[in-house]
Amino acid sequence: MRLSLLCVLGGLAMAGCAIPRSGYIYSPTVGGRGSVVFPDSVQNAGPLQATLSGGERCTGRYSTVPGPHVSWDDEKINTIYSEDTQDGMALLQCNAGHLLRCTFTRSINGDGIGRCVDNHSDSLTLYF
Amino acid sequence: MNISRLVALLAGAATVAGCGLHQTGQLYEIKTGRATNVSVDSPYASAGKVHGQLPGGVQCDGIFSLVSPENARQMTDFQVPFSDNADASVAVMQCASGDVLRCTMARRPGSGFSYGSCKDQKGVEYAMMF
Repeated sequence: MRLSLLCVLGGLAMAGCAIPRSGYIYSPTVGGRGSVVFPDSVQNAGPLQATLSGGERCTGRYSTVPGPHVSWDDEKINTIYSEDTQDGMALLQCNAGHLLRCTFTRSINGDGIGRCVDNHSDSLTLYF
Repeated sequence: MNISRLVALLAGAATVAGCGLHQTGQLYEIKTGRATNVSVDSPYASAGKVHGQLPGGVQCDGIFSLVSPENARQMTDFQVPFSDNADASVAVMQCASGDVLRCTMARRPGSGFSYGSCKDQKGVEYAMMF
């Protein structure tokens, strides 16, 4: 199953197809729900867009590293065959001086969860 | 030949040829949200030079060293997510203003840096994105 998914995702990536993934960014203090979009979620790093619950738009970048669950290549020493989970960080610049720093973990399917803290000491939750 | 293998081969060839690769990214001051540049010489190596700029234009220089993820967690308390399957590095940068930035950086094995976080001796926080 995992191999099939890898083949499909790999094939789409090799064909130059971006696979967007969208999700939500929750603000417990404001009490609303905004949105987040990874325009090409297959990539290990790339651009990221968000709209906060109040309508504020943010743009930035995310990047990932292998998470705690990986599959190892049986034929090569210390070589990761597939990253079944990834840890990541995203930085989003919103209105002037408003910065969100998010940390997240995501699965091989691209779905994930994370937490963002902004420079106004607000904490937000990320689901995608 | 897959891309990661090609990159590793190119990195190896460049190292043998004596021309270290160079990686650039952005250094964000968390409090103000202002971004400046940060760069790493030999980002695939176990140690190398780091250059950065503070929002006021002050230049910072230092070195990074690859350490075990466990040691990186013990040395710093920054919000940098990485598992034992990632490469973790610790960097120290001295700035012309007298500020000293202590950073934790993460990368994919065999690849350049992904992200990091820094804090200076006054507690001012920075984040890195490559």
